[in-house]
Amino acid sequence: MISERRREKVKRTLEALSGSSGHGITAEEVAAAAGIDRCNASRELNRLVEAGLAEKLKGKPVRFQANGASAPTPVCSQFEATGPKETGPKETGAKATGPEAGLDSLPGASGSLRTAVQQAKAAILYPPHGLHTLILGSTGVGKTLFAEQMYKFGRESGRFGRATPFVAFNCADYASNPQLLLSNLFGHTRGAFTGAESDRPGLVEKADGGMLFLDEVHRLTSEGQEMFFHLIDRGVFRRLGETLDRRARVLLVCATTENPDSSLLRTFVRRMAMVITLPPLVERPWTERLEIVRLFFQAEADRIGIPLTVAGNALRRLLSYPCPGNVGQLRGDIQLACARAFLEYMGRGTGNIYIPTRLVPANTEPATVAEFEAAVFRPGTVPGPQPWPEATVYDLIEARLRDLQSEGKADQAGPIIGAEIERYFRRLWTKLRSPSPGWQQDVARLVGPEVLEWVNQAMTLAAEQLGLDIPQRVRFGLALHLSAALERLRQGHQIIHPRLAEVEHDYPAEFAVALQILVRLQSLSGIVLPLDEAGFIATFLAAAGSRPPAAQVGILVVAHGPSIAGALAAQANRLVEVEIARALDWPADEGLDRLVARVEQSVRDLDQGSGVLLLVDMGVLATIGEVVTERTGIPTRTVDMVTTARVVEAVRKAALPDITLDELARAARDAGSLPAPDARQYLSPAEIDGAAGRPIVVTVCLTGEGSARKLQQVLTEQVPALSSGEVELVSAAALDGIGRESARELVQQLLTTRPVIALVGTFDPGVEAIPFISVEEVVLGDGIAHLRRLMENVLRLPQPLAGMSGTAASLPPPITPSLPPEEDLFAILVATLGHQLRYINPALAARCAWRALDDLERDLEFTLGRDLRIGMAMHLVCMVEKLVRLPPVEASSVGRGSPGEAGNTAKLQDGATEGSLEQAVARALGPLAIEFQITVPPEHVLGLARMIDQQ
Amino acid sequence: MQPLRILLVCSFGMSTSLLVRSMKQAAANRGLAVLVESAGTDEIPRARGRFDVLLLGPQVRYAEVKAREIGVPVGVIEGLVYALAQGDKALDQAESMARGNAR
Repeated sequence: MISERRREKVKRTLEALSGSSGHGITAEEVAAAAGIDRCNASRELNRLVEAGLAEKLKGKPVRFQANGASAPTPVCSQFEATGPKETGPKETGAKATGPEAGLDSLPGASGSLRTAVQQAKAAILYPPHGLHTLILGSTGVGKTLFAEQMYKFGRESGRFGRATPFVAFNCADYASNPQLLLSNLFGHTRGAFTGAESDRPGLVEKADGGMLFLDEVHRLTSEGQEMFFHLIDRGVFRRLGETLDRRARVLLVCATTENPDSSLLRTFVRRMAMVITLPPLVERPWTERLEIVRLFFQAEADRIGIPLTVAGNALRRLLSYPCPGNVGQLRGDIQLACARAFLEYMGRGTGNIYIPTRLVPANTEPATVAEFEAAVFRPGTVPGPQPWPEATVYDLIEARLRDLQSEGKADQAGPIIGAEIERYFRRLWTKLRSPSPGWQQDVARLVGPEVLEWVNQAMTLAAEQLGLDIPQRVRFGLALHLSAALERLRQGHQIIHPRLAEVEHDYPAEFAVALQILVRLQSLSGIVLPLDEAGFIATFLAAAGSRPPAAQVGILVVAHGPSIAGALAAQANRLVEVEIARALDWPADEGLDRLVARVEQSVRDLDQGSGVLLLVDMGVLATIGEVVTERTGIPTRTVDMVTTARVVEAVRKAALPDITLDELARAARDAGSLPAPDARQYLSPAEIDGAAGRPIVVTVCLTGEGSARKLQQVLTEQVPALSSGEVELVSAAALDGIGRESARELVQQLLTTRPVIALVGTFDPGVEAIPFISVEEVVLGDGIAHLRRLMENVLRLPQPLAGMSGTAASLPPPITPSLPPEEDLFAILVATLGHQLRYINPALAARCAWRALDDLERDLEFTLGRDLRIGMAMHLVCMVEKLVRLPPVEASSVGRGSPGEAGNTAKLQDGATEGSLEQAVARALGPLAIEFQITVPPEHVLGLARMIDQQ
Repeated sequence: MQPLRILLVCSFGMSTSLLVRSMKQAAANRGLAVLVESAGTDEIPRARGRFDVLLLGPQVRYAEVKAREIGVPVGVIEGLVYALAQGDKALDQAESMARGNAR
């Protein structure tokens, strides 16, 4: 079974590969492509030969070819365009980008590239070791691809062996640091320059015996050129810092867009025996361009894994529009068109991806080619859809959510996705910092002029209010993002920012501006943008305003004793799920000198350019940092009195992008510097599940420890019930910032066993029935008084009721089909009211109202009846809530503790009956009014009287 | 289709807000377009022409006669439905009243 399946796989792989190479396939290539062991592949191939299904070709290594594979189903034969002149099957059968393609498979190999291909072959084959080659051509003509094909030709022709190295290097990568550039190319010895900690070989050594491709060779310094001359002329080179020559035989292939007559290159060109010029796209015949266009579409279809249909006119345009960026731009434009088409396809969710004419760049010239029919590209042999390279932040969120859900970790989605969003924008921002050529047109084309204009307006706002000088390229980044957002909304998709509250909290200034931008965009685009989008914009602005991403600050924990530091670091790393903190334990028998040396080594290891934070316990350790900095030149900051909280805070913050050493030191120092009075971070499950305990007040803070502790300190000092311990203070602030969802869940969990009096904090988790008091109210307003009042209500209650205020409110009210007895009715009432009240305790209020109605019934010798009692009780409780919140200003009403005078509501005493009824109502309301310290206005007394009177 | 316009009446519009919310929720669950508002008994005359159905809280049953002058169906919410804030049942009631009127 297994071997049959394997044979089938090998057969199919061979057939597929045979289609793109006329030279046969080695067992190794089949094994790699089929993902099986080489020996097995070889065995199956030989069996296929025995069965007459394949042929063995002569030579070493042995090559195989599928029988009948001389005309296999080539990937591109599904291309159904019918141009006036179809190109031959030989060229269409190959994929220029595929791993098996050679020089001959390049589009135009027998056309406009014919000379170039012949030159390249000669350069490779020329005895004894080939000719050093310079490839010239303007941006995007395909110099890199050409060099790769040269190497492949070397392999195919047998000139290169299987182990012959191919090393490619872009000299522009390190152009700003010549030393690093040369060290990369030639290697260095230990101590050759600052930072050269060990001997390191360079790329020249790696390419020994093979081919070294140097792209953008004009970026090489004259010193570097000189070193290559040595290599070319005498076959020798030295690692940086070395005095003795090393030998290497390297075939150099260089590429440049520069004019070879420039002074920089003239000496270099002289050393190059072969100079190959690749023609710009405009000089190539349209048939070749068509072939290239098809290859690119096919590559996109393979990558997306969904068939692509291209409108005939779109193809026509692509063949004739001005394309100064050559093949590279052509590919970019095709990718952009596919990206937009992909978005539209996502909106429909069915069918093929369709690329209409409007998605490809317009042609300013009259079309020079004949008409085309629509073409279909089906995903080829490349397996599966590849991740879309320009995924929007929304795709990212959705994908992450899906992943987390399937892993059963949906509850952790908040923080993870939050970090993901930040990373996304930072990446976008970094990418825009060093844009590829032609990016500006790309973006403008993708988003359209109007979105760019809107973004410019938005950026003016940002510049005015944040003082952000936002470079043009960042604007384009935002334009890209917004265009994706608008596209999404147009398609009826939602925009959800899972960490909106956090963004609002972390970047208040940016968020404020983002909101204004949102409003502006709304009126400009006519599309209603959800608040969540402001979160994204704020994140973007924050990313744009931040410094360039810096290297991570190292963290080193040092403590007396054989294991403390290690334990602290390990615990912090585990909690934050990173490996950032390192530890050095200082056993009692070790001398200070020895320790300093170890610290020095660790600091060197840890430093990535941003310095190292030392967290130490006490004494002499606090001074080690200075010594180490003096010796190493690596900046350090030291925070002493290390605690778990400090290490955790440092590790957590160090994991954030862009934090500096000083900021990190401050954060670590602040962490845990306030004593936490009778407040704890987390409730253990046992505590949550445990028997109903004291009533609690929950603090909710986004920022974690620091602000939560300050808040707790304030509350404990000012609220007697908290300092006496009658009411417990519990923090729902998680180490990594707690989300609104998780806070709500935590509180609801608490509610099942313990009465929660109130939530206090920086954001309202929106738990029904539990009053929320903001930090602002606590600090500036009557938050403390409010909290005290709430507590008094609860603490005065008989215990079972206190419990019920929690349980009843958190659980869905029981649905009883039959008439419930009075006690149940009361419980139902409390539960329902719990969802509605924010200022008063529902259980207490309901009980008071119930009693008032009891009194009224007794007083009037009248039974209210169930429905009326329910209605009146609900009315009374809601009335109390409203009066507690907004006390009326009228003077004559049922007053505080003066129920006897309540009847003196002169203007309402029209009729005797009503009057006495009113008096009865007022009398009944007395205790309620005293309990909640409210004044019931006469119209309410009248209203209640009416309810009874009409029965 | 025009949304069904429902007015919940209680004393000073105090105790109906939760029922308003749960009725809206119930309507949303059914994919139904409704407009639900709450008002006090004093505001009944102003409801003329603006609502299709009036529902009274059990404690303001006395206002039923006055409510009928508006010329749209008037019902009193059953006590338990009110106490439990059962939006579904209240919505059922409003709908069947509106249908009854249409016939």
